[in-house]
Amino acid sequence: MTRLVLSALGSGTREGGVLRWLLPLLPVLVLLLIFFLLPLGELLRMSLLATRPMPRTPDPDVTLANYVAVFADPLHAEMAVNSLLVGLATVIFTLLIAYPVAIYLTRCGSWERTFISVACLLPIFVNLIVGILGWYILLLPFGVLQQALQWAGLIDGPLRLLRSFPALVLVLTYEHLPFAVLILASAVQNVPQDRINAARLLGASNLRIFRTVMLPLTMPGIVASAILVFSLSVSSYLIPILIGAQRVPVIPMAIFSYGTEQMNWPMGAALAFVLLVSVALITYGFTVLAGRLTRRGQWEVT
Amino acid sequence: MKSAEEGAAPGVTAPDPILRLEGLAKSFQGQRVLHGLDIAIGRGEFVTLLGPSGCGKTTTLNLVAGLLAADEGSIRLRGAVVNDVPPQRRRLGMVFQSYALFPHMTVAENIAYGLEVQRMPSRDIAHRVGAMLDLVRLPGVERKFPSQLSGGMQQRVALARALVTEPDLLLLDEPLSNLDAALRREMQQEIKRIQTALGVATLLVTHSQEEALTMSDRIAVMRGGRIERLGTPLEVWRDPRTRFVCTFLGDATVLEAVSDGTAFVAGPLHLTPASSAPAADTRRTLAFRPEHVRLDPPADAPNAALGLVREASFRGAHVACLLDCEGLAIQAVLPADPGGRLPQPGTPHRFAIPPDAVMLLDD
Ligand SMILES: Nc1ncnc2c1ncn2[C@@H]1O[C@H](COP(=O)(O)OP(=O)(O)OP(=O)(O)O)[C@@H](O)[C@H]1O
Ligand SMILES: [Mg+2]
Repeated sequence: MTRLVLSALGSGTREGGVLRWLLPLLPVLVLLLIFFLLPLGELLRMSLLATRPMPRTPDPDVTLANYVAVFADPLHAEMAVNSLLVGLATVIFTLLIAYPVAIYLTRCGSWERTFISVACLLPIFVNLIVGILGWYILLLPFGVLQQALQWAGLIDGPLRLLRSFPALVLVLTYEHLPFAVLILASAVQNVPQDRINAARLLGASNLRIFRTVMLPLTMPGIVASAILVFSLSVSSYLIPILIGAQRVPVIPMAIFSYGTEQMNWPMGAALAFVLLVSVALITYGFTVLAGRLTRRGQWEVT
Repeated sequence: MKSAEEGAAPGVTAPDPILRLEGLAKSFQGQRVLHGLDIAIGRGEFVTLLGPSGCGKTTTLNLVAGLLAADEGSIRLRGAVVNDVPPQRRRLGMVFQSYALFPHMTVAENIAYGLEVQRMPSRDIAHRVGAMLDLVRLPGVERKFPSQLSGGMQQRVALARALVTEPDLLLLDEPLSNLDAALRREMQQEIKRIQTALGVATLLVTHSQEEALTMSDRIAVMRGGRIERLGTPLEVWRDPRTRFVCTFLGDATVLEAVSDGTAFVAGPLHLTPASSAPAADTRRTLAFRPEHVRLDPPADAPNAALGLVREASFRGAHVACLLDCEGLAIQAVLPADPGGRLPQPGTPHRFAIPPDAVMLLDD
């Protein structure tokens, strides 16, 4: 089963043979159209409507006023910076932890492999809120962790672990680590051992092999997991509201607030659309940069 | 032949060998794969490990390279035991069956890899890479990527990459098995030419007897994790000693025979070997190669008998023939007749096996 998940999430997708792929993809495309593209169009339409306190009879006029308001509000700027930093930090920590685990996963025996795979999959099966509350209890001022630290004499009085930027990044990293491990494990596994051995026989140290062989050859997996973790982290709502709350305000909180508390759907829609486009642009930029660094377009045969 | 100028063929007792394996043993999951291997390779010598699939050739090569750890025995490189030296510091060149080129680097960067590791100045690197590409006859592909090259060209790049650091021992693991027959023959000669030009000792792994016979100074025929026969191609071919080596190297008719004091008797065949007069009543296994069988020999030819032609098939340069000698099946390969005449199936023919061609086997 692990193998199935690995290959399903793997980076092995290649362009080419468009027509041959289109037919089996048809059901997915239809689903995508109904449940993703149509709501997205609706979101875009709504974001272009004028803001009304009670949107019974929305003004049919198209206006960019919401977008102007989105960019004018300094609170949004602060939230955007927070979101960006949280996303980047989560990506970096996730990759730093997941890559060694992925390498270990491909080198170790079958017993350890099963163990790590199950450990990776379990958090996905656990209900998100249950998982977050677990962290909540752990990090609370008089929670398990702080009591243990105090008992050991390592800290003196309660610390504010919860409601902080590091806590938010920590929980987001935990939550998204399994995806990164599974993707990277498949990427690392796809690097033929012969190539690593060839580099070793040519005298390369492990660090140099990592830098000159492993990193470029697993770059698609790194890019894929970075994109996944970044977009999941930046768009996460539950974890920021429960762990960071008002100390680390992020964009999804504002979207939620516009949509529910303030009943200002057009503003919420405009903000959501800005977030979507930003994530898409950052993702695209990252892919292009990684591809250019490894010159992938030049040598990869499809 | 190379070994001639070094006096006797450099066997396990070669003076100052580049590589010496003593009692090398290896198990995988409790399963013995190598049983105490002994071999020494002299400087500049070309030695081939030849054997069927699964006999432990690749394992031996990986042990020499340091990619696997030996369970027992010692590996000496340039006189020093290297069992605990990592592959990085063994200073060996190796070409893998898959070539193992770095796909994200150009040909020049691939070849330069070992020199970059040594932090050689880039001007010297460019010079050495150019010289290496000339040696493997691949000028002008510096900036191409491996995926843009044919199999044979990739093979040459892999060879250049392994040799650019001037190792004194080159390891080749079935380097030609991914090439088609014509290219394989060409690369056999190319590898041999480059190996001779650089004077680099080479350990080749193959399961193709043709490759082993044409390229090697010495051949080690392996079976089930042991070296069964070690010698020059001619020695191993003419005197294989065991039935396995004899039939692995080429076709042969193998017979069980009993000595009557002057000749070995197998059915109607009376065979006198060239070497020694056999003592009476000794049982031996005899063999001879199809190409040594003479059809319609002169009347006074030794080791002659009468056989019935069962099949005769035209193979271009020669004719393959199956003779029935009172129940014994005798394979014969005859030079093609210029007039295009084939021995007719069903006709009786006299045939003879020259005493030189009779091989005595232990098994
Ligand atoms: N990593 C391994 N784990 C378990 N068994 C192995 C391993 N590597 C090799 N073996 C076993 O050891 C034996 C020898 O393998 P080896 O690869 O050395 O054979 P070979 O002579 O190179 O064969 P081939 O011509 O097929 O390459 C085989 O029976 C193989 O199944
Ligand atoms: Mg092998």
